[in-house]
Amino acid sequence: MNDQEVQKEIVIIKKMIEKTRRETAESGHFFMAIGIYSIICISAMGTLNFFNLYDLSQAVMIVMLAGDGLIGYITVFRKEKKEKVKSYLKTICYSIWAACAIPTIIIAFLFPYLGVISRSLVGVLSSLIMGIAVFSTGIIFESRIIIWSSLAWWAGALVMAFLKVIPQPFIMVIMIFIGWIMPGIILNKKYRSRSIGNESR
Amino acid sequence: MNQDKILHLDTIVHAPVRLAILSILVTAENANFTFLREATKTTDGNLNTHLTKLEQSGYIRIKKTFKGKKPQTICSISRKGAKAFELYLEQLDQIVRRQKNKT
Repeated sequence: MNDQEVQKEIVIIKKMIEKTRRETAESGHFFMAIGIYSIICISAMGTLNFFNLYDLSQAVMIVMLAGDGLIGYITVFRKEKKEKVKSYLKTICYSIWAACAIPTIIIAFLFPYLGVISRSLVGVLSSLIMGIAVFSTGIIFESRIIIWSSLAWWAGALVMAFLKVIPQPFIMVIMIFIGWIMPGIILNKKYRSRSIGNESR
Repeated sequence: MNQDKILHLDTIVHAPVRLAILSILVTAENANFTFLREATKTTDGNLNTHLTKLEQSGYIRIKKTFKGKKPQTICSISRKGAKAFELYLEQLDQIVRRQKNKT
């Protein structure tokens, strides 16, 4: 085997790896869709809390979590069925999100009713967990901006720890924008640029 | 002296189409037949032959399922295949180094 043949084989390997990476790139739709929907719901919750309509606010929270689950199912699982290539990275990323969503649901619904924590701590603890999910996503997709945006969740948790229940949703809206929608936009930009590169080759 | 004989290059991995298939499968969890055909730019029959050879060598696993009414072939790399691919890359690296030293 001569040098030229080796170089040819290296080119084949590189090309195939790049093609697979392009095909399995994360579109960011999951983060953007969940982010926008959650902002709408949390804004509604904040407004209801402002008028002391806590029961109605809790109902909106249930609708929000059910909707988040539905969006997750549509954007992740249904799309995954249509995909030609399944990647380890996406599987790990979605597993982390699922693993973080479950304790968030427990914190939001179970703990306040069991009297384990007060309502004002729901947002704080949920934000700490969401920070972990966003941070892990940044590491998985090698995006420094996403890693940094996880700080928004943790900083927000600190701020909310000193606030009452009423203004908390408004802080969360900012955190969702920085910590969910922005990473989604970044991933989508990368995905689009990769798709354009794929078409031109 | 022939360097290939000294290094015992794996002839299963050595074929360009099979090398391309393994490069894809080592990067992904699994890939379907359509993607492999498009990426390797080969025909159905040719790809099928190479996939069968890789499966017989224990380098890949082939799962045949149905997506609605359409049959679907999903391929994934086995541990043996991943090791063989890794060894092949090491051998390529050795060849490059030897040729650099010669020059």
